[in-house]
Amino acid sequence: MENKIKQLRKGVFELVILQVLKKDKYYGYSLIKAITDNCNFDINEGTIYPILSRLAKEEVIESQWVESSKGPPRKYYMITNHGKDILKGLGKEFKDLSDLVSKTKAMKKKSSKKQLSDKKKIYPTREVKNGK
Amino acid sequence: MGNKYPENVEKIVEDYLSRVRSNMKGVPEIDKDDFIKEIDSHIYESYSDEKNGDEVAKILKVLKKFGEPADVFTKSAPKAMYKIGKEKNIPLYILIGALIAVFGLPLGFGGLGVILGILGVLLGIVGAYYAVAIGFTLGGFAGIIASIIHIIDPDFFLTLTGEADMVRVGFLQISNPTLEGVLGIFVSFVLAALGIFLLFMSKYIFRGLKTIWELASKKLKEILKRNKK
Repeated sequence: MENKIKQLRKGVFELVILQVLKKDKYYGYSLIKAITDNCNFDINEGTIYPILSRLAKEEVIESQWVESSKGPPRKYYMITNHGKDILKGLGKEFKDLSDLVSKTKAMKKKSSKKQLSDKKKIYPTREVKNGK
Repeated sequence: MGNKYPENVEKIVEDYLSRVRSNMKGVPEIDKDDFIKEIDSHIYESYSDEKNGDEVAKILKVLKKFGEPADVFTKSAPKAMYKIGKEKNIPLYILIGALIAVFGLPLGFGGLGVILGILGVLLGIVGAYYAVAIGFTLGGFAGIIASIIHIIDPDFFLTLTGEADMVRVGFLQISNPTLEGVLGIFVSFVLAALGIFLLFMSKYIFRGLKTIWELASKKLKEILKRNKK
């Protein structure tokens, strides 16, 4: 279960990261802050770096080291034009998926009897296949 | 890393970073350095933001939020990165190490030459490998066919090959066409099998070379981009 949640989050995080980076450029820590300030579940901050690295490899985002007046240099991330296109597609896909989730959830409540009769229809065909 | 933390905090951070580093198996050194630098920067920012508690409590809280060193990179590492670690190919490691050492130097147009050279050599190796493998396979099959003809119709075989001793199985000084033919088929079969084996192995051999290729062409792109500016 935990693994499923992780996988689901990973995909959504890519979308969230791109959405945040579309507004402005961020370095890792500020990006995590921008995301966690808006949500109420805790994530391991470190997990963002492999995601950022993969996005950078796919040239969806790009990075640049910038000297900081306080402390070590910061690696800033910016979305690329290619990334903006990807974001458009991902955003639409996510909206469709989330619609699908809420629609199918509503469907279950409506007709639990009908589902039972559907199952009955499936079983006979399976038995035919097995040669019984 | 310098003295940006109190001494005891510095020690905790260094230990943490070294544990993250040892968990980044299969990540190229050059990327490891960059990741560590980035994580170090993150921890510093997070630590400076932390207001409550003493130094040690603060840094422990920061590290807890960041996650266990083992969780940060191993499972979620980008595929292309830990692929190298999966292949226990030691000569390849040495080669990659040498390449990284070369790429690690400041690269100007000289570096461009080096990388183009490496890409060229890679292409050459791949080309030669396939030439040999395909040559063996085709040669083997041709040999089998020639040997069969040799058995069925020795005279036709002679007119077919003429004076070309290379084509005839000339190293056998037996005046028995059937025996010559059978031996010919055997030798040709081994040759063809070797060729097919080489072709089959290529996908394992070139998986490693592909990594180097990607590494080199990525660097090439970077240099070209830099020189344009």
